[in-house]
Amino acid sequence: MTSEGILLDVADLRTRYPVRQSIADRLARRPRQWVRAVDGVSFSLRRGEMVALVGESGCGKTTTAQTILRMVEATGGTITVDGQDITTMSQRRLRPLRRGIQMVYQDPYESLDPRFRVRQTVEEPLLVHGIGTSKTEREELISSALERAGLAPASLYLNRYPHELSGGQRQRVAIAAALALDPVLLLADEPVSMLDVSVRAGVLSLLDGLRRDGRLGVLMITHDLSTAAHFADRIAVMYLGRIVEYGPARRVVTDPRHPYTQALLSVVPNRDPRVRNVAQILSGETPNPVAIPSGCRFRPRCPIAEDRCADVDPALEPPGSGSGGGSAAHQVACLLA
Amino acid sequence: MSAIATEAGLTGTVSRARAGLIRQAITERKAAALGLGIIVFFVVLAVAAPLIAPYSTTAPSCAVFAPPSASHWLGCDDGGIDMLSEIISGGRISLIIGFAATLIAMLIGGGVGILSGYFGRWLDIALMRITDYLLVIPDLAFAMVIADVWGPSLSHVIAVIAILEWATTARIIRAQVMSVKERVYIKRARSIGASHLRIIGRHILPQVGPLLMANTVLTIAVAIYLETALAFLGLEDPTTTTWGTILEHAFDRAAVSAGAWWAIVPDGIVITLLIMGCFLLGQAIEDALNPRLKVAHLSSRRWALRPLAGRGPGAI
Amino acid sequence: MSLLEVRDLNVWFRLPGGGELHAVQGVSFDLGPGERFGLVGESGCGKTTSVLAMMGLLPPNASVAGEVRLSGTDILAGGEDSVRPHRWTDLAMVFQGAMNALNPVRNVIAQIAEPIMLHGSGGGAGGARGAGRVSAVAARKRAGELLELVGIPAAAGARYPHEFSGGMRQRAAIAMALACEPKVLLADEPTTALDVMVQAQITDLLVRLCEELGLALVLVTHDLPVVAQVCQRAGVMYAGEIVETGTTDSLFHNTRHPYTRLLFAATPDLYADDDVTSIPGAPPRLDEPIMGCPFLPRCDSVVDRCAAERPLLRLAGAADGAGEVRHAVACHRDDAGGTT
Repeated sequence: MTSEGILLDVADLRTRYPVRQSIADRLARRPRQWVRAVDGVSFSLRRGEMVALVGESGCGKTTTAQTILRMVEATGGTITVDGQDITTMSQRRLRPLRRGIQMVYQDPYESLDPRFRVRQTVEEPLLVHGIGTSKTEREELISSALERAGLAPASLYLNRYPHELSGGQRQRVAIAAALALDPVLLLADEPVSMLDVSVRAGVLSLLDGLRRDGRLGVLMITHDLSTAAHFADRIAVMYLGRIVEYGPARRVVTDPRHPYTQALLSVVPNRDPRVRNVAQILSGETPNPVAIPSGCRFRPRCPIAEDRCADVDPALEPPGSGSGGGSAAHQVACLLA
Repeated sequence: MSAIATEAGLTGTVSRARAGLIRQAITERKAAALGLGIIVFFVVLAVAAPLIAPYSTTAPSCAVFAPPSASHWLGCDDGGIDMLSEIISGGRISLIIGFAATLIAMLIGGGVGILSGYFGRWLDIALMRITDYLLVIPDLAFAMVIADVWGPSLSHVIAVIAILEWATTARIIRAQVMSVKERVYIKRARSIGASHLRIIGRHILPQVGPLLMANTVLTIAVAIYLETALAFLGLEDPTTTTWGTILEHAFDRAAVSAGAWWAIVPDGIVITLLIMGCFLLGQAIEDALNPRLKVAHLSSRRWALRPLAGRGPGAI
Repeated sequence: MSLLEVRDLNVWFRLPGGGELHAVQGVSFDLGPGERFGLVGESGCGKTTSVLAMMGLLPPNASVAGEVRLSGTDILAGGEDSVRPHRWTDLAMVFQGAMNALNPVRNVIAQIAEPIMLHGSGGGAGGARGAGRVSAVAARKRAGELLELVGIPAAAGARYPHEFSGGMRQRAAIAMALACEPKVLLADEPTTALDVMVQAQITDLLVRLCEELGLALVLVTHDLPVVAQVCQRAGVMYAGEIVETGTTDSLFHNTRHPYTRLLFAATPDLYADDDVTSIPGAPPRLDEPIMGCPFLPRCDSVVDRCAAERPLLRLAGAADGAGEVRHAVACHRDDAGGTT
């Protein structure tokens, strides 16, 4: 069902931002500090798959997506889409490839130009890339994109302004605009976090359906583990710019090996009041990506950290011990897994 | 149930469509309509000047400083030229100067503001330093120097006013562009691959349009004022008739000591009227653009109590 | 007589173009000391308006009907004047986005000390007004104690809000609300903008405060799982009214209202395999009178009566087991013999 080729391959991706130095710092010749937002991220995505990048704020998941989209420049590593290395490609050469990679943003209330009718919003990508030789041809493409996004019949929505639509409908318009170019890779940054609960499943099922018919792969950024567990094939848990656990969604959720994943899963509240998890509430908050701890970056908050964790920065590997043998599909970055 | 559902939020009202914001500003506020009316009146007057002016503005038609009479409603000036005709014709030139200078100032100011705000970094720094320089220079001193160096003429006056005026607009537009640039739909357009030109033209310009409009109207007011000042200081071609030169002539020829108030006051009034009209309109548009300030807590009125209607039987 | 009794709370907003928005259409619930009650619903259902009405913090275009009884006395009876003495001293609120509402130019401890100096630190209406004002030094000391209570070292209070993380700011907002020792805390979406780990810290804090201080809590949120874990009882709101209320246990295990059922179905569970569904349509407009049941257009178990008559909140199936503490539903299906 899924094609053999890897659609998106990210290898040791790094993105960092310089911290602005005050004059005093410059005079004292203090070494420049960096925010290592993405600090060595590797994963892959096939056509027809959905991978979820999960983590708390500041873990680097959004920056990873922006780097893949080349809105932010990577400072290391490679991004390969459909066999082509796009990491350092010039913007000019990149432009035609941008058709294939599209992003859906978190805020449906802000991602549409309030002065553009729905038709204009969905038409814009077509005009930018010169697709569709006549107005009627473009109308066809616009309508089919809207219907693919669940807004049917399209004629009902074409002339609407964003303020006349609900949050869920706006998000579908954004998705339609992304679909208009028939992309192969869809990046969804918290696509439903600003929508009402009763509307979320509709949009998520839409994304799910889109990738199931084999045409595209979806990389979903989310902080919501439950959503990731339900819709994604694989989950990558990120912490401070690194993936700390990566594997099939069901496996990561039912048999987490990294202490961070375990803690995270334990604090997700269950809708059934009778189910009371033993919550491992980690103390404090995620440290600043400017000052990443030495050795294992999770060490200061880790409930099971040992001395050797301060010396080695663990790589993402299949867990050594544990039930069912470490399958190459399930990887953990922990010395004690 | 309609397929187009609006959220049943507490605002209740659907936010207004952006197109027609200016129209709405005008219809909602009486002051704005008044301002627009005044401006339109003067524009019509200026356009129809050659047809309306009762007498020539070059050849004398009455005695020097003749007081207002039935045949000369506003009397005559120091050269025996009918005041009313002078004001009407002078208005034409003044308005041309004002509008032309403002147009140039808006083009430059808007352009600089957009480029500066959108591209940022070095371009922003460079353009803003130039802008700062111009903002700091005292207007009239600068104008006097330039007029002295270039010589008095209509086009020079327009140029001077334009140079003095574009900087303020540039700053205001730049601020607006910088905030619009951060909005998600702009980022989305970038990620689709839209060119800078497209983004500026289709997304940013419509957003700053109303602000630019408000600024334009207010700048016209300033331009008219500056024209008057420049003429009054003798920096304009004295042979042309503008509202400013009328005042200049009047003071030069001692109209005050001659008791000829009609050589000064009516001219002053029309200048004031036009400036006031521009301000009314410009302010109204600006007000409409600002989100309404929440001043509910300052209100002396409070939320009200209502008597409880009967509840249904068996209700909790 | 409970600590807090809300009876038939109604709120109308006068609209600028004329007409009225009936934002809250008859909300009633009880709360005892130390109890935690959840007010759950999606955007526009009226939950925030309800708690603002209880605090008397509505804008001038609002009108309110109903009763809010604190230990028997209706504090709404005299309008603003009867509510004001109880604000902060008996009834305190943590606002939505409170963590972003801290004054950026004053340090945190000063902001917590301020209400103490203004209202006095004793509980009860007009607490310290008659007893004399609290001195700045004493207020600061008390503010330090409050910060410790919410898990922030008192020394950190000297910092400014922008130096605090999101979670710490939310704690500071809670500390501020507790400054005058209220009996009831109304928390409006206290964890919505926070990461799940920080959310757990905050909900843990709220539960601990309720247990240690005997504080009663009304937790307003759209997040069902949070209510399930934190609150003992809850009310599900839709279109301005409570459509189902009961213990969180019975709400999940003995759901009566179709909306509640669909809402649970729309909430993904980490471990469950069942499909996550959405509810088609959208809530009704509240500026028009609603005929029949407000949930009718989106309901999957409609009977004839639903279109004709608006269901009232009634005790559910009295014949059910003794454990059902006031489980009430506003649904015709339930009257007709219960749903499956």
